[in-house]
Amino acid sequence: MIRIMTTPTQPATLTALFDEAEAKLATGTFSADDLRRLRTAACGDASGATSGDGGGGQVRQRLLYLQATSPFIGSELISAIEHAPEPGGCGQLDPTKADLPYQCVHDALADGWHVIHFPQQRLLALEPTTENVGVLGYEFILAKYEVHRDESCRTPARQRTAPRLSA
Amino acid sequence: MSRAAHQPGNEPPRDCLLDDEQVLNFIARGYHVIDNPFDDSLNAEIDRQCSALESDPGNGILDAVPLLHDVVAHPKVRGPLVSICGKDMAMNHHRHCHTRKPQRFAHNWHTDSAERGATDLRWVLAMYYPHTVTPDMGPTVILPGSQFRSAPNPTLESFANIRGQFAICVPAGTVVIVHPNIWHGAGPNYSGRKRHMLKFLFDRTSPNTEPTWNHDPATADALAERLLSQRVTPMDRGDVQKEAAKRRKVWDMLLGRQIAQV
Repeated sequence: MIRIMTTPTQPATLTALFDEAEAKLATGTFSADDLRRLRTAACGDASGATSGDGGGGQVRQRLLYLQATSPFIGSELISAIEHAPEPGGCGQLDPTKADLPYQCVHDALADGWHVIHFPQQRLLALEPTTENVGVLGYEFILAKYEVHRDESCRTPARQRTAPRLSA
Repeated sequence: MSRAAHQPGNEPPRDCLLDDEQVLNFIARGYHVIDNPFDDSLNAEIDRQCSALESDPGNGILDAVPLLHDVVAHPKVRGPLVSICGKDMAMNHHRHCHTRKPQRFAHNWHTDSAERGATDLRWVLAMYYPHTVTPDMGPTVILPGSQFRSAPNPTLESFANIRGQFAICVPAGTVVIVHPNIWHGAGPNYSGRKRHMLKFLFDRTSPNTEPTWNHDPATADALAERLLSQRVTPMDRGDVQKEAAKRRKVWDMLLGRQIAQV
């Protein structure tokens, strides 16, 4: 599912855009700009966002890293971190918000997330030794796609990185 | 160097040493909490002096805040350290006053030791909090049971909150001893005040030839059987036995059955 972010706090869906297009076609008001907006939302073509027509958007990727206790998507989650596609949206350790958003990877799929990275089975098979324990969990990376039409989509994305600080 | 901590024969009284259960839990969980043994006035004065520092003096913190000698020399602090690092444990020259000013950035997960997965327990960290720490104050966060995992620090940076993590939100005067390889970080400091953590390292200087805590051979084996196999972090089922084996190595080393490399 692609969410349409008309403003940072006003999401819409791709279905809504198609509904709008159908309504305009029925009344003979569907324009080239409407078609460009629809293309942008559906195909991720961001050209409309910078064309100055005010109707386009920029497709952005919201990421969710989930660490599970096994490669099985129904296994218990150990950790989760969500990164929003906007300046300052990088997720981080925060004990004031310690609840995990899902119980397992499958719960996230049911909530509209798409898996874009699965734990690497070949590497997993090579990594364990008879003695060592490795990094905790099996990492799944998931994504949702959003179209942003707010002002921030016209500025270059700035990745904010936490400075090295003391524990 | 501490005025009292390294004097020969200055052994802590027996009632300040750990018992078998506490040592076994330290091995499995990677930390031990010492409840405030100090006068409130001492904690408050150290907090005041730390807040007045313009920057972290690093190894010079004992000179900058001499009252900290009373912290590291206290029998309730030395007892657990002797229990874990041996009778001739010594304070390392490396130390810090880690201050987290109000800020919205966290400090990512990491470990302080490059010897990942090691079972020789050559040193530990002691973290002293001179003021009460609340969850919004950027507390140190540790992941109990993570100390034996061979995880490079860059890998840890993709983690945020982890099930089972322990945010060290404690009353003023608390000292927490942690395994050097335990995963730890710190949350954002949303509060309006600085959060201080005084970090000291303590080294093992010789291998154990016998237990250096209140050991009871009559009950220790049964306790070890139970506590060394406890599940601390949510983990892959395949790791349970491997972690138990690593904990057993540490236990044997502390009992003097297996010589530690120092």
